[in-house]
Amino acid sequence: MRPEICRTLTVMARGMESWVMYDEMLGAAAATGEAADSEGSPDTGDAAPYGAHVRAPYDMVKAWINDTSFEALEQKRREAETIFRKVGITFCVYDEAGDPERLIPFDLIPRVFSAGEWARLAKGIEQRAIALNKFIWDVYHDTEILKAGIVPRALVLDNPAYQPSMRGVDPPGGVYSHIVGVDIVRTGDNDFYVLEDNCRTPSGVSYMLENREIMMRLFPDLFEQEAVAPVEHYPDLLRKTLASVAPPRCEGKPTIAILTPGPFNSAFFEHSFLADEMGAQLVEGADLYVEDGLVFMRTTCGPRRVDVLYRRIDDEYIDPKRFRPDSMLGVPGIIEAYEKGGVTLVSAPGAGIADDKAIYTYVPEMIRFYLGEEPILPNVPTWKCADDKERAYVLDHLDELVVKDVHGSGGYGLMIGPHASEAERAAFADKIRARPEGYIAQPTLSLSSCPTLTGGEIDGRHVDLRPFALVGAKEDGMTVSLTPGGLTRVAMRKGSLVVNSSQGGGVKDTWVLRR
Amino acid sequence: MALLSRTAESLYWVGRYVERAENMARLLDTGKRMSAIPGDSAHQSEWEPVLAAAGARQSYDALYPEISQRNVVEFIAYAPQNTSSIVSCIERARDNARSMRTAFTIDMWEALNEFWLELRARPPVRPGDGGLVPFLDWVKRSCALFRGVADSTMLRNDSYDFLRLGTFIERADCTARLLDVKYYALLKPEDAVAGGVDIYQWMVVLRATSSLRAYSWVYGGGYEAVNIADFLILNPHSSRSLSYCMEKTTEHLNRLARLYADRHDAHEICASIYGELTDNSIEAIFQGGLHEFLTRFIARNNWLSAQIARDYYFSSVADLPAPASAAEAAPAPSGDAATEENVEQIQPFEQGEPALENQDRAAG
Repeated sequence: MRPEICRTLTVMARGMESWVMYDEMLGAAAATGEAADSEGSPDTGDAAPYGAHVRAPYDMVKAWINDTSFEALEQKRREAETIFRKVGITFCVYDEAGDPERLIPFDLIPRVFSAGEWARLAKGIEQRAIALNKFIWDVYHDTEILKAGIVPRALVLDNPAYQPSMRGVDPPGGVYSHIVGVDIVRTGDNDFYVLEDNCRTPSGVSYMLENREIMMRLFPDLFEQEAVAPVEHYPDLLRKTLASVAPPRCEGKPTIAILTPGPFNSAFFEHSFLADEMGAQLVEGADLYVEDGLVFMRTTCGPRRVDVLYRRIDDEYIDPKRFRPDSMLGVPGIIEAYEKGGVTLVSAPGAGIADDKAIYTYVPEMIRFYLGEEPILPNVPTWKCADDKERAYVLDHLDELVVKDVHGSGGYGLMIGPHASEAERAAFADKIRARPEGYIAQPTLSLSSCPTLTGGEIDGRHVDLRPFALVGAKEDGMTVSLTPGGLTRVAMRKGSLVVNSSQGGGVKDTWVLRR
Repeated sequence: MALLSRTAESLYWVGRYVERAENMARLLDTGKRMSAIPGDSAHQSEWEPVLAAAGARQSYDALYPEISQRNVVEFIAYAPQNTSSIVSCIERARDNARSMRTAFTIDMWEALNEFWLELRARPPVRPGDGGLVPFLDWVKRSCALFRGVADSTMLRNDSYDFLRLGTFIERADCTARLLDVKYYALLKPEDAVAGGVDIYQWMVVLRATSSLRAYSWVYGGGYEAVNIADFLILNPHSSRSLSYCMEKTTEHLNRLARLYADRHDAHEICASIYGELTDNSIEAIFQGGLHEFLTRFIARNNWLSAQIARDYYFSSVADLPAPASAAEAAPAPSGDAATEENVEQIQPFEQGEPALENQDRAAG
């Protein structure tokens, strides 16, 4: 399993001269004044209310914090913790004894986007989700982008995420990745970068929904003016998206199910939550079987057809007949049923080719190639070590770059130049020379921070954003539905850029203002 | 919408495990009381019938060299090797619940999860620390709390029916076992007059089923073997009688038949078992042999359980006995058989469900 909610972000170099902190509430200017602060975070202090320098989208948050005593906020924070612990039992059921440390910390102070900021982000995300799906269709059909020499052939065809058996298979609507999680970081007023794409089974959407739920419960007044765009229709959008990609052999209203690896999976709560919210069955591999190219679930009334399966299981485990024969989690024969139009798998097998770290660097080119548009959201500048010139640059600047193994995830195979010792850098340089195509390098980014309740004060903490784009089929192609906002992850430790939930990362409610 | 068979199976087993945990607590309570009875019986021997009623004598002997209160309490309350120990039952009930959270209400989940968490957190009871009775009371209360919240928060749909089927099939099984272990005491009223020990034993049977007071209300006091057997086998007002359990089982199977518009073999078997209770008298049962009657009931109740699994496509179907052999369960030898032999005749509890194994594999 890819530990998707747990992912290490690029880590910023402390003490770099060019480094400027961007605080989303205070803006760059206010934060720069604090940049000399030893920890590098703007400290507003609990005694000093926010003043005129607050950015406009945060006006509501400013008024609320200024009007609310710190004691009241602390009390609400404890209340939130109690409620979450109750719900949190469900986050932690797979832990021994419901270990409270595995609760994901929730921060009360929302992260806010203006309507204008979101409009631009939304366009960029939709553009990206469409281009990624067109790319996947292409590499399993005519390979135009390879023929045009834009993406190197070997990078795609020899990639472990590429499934040769998907060649020529036509998924309904041409959609391969139905839920695209685009991870975005911010570095300034108008500076957003895509850090990575998640085209298989991005997780975390249940936290997005629960965060809003708890905020509305604790602070109903904040939502009375209807200034914040709602998110609670996400499960409905997901259900509609899944229904739109019903397979050719589906008769009548499609039956939707979520396939989970089981209660020991770290995202089991989310699987169960989404099934409940959508009114879909939550099934395990053993509940399903394939007969005559159709997929059935075992019910108390006998077999029932399943038309669309939102599988939260990786390709390699989904069909022991086709992939790993030792997999107990999958359904024998389901890939054949899929290829013959008996069932739709969401996401499609082989969709992972589009979120490979080496492929990532070509996404802006894909957007130009398939859509004839300029990318709205830029990538983080990336050097590909496979390229001679770029590799030379990387080897010369190892002390200021982050180098990543293109197939690594969860922070494995990562070297943070400014934090590494001379010997570590030398060792990594050898690795890059030995297998240049396995590595990419990026500059260390200064992620934005947001005001966050921390032990006894409000202080800036670094954040990122994972919006969830839903890609469905319509008569003449694809359609994208996007819930305003997404999941904001926050590094709860001062100065840390690691939003990884296993390393103290927390979550915040994400507001998109309606006007 | 049809219920996933795995979910139905899990609900059924949650019902059985919680009921079983409660009955194990009652059995230990019984043993504790009997060991306090004055009389010629050595203390140890009073724990033998407890093991027999738990259907666990063989696995006990494999673990412990001798019978003592300390060992029996450890075995029935805690031992992980005993699949029917209180801890094992609650752990497996919770594992089942966890895999089908959507079929549970929040209150049910919390009741079961908190039960499990506290069971793990509590230090084990030690002989002489006075903790056994409070512990057993707490177990009974926790089981009752779970049943109570299920009753007051669940939708009255097929999920509810499967949970309750598990509860009543398990309860019938437990009552029959308990009676079978004590049947020889019920059959020798002359000893009771002489020694008074058997009256204690009968009272203990009633206590073990929490029906001492209820019995007195119904029969106006006086402990008669025939009345006690009648109360626990045929009386439709006794909440633990075989008759009441089968009435409830019939009710829930009929609800499923209406909901799914489909009757199965399980409905026929249930009607047949229930009929043998409603069309019977306690005198006729004693005449034909109480032990034989109970042995046949236990076998047929197991058969019903297996047929429910088959009719509703539970995953454990392949492991169940063929119906023919279970239907014609041979009557046991004569009613005078010694206790030790009876112990061997009592079948072990129906064991866990293969769904659990799937979960274990999924963890890898």
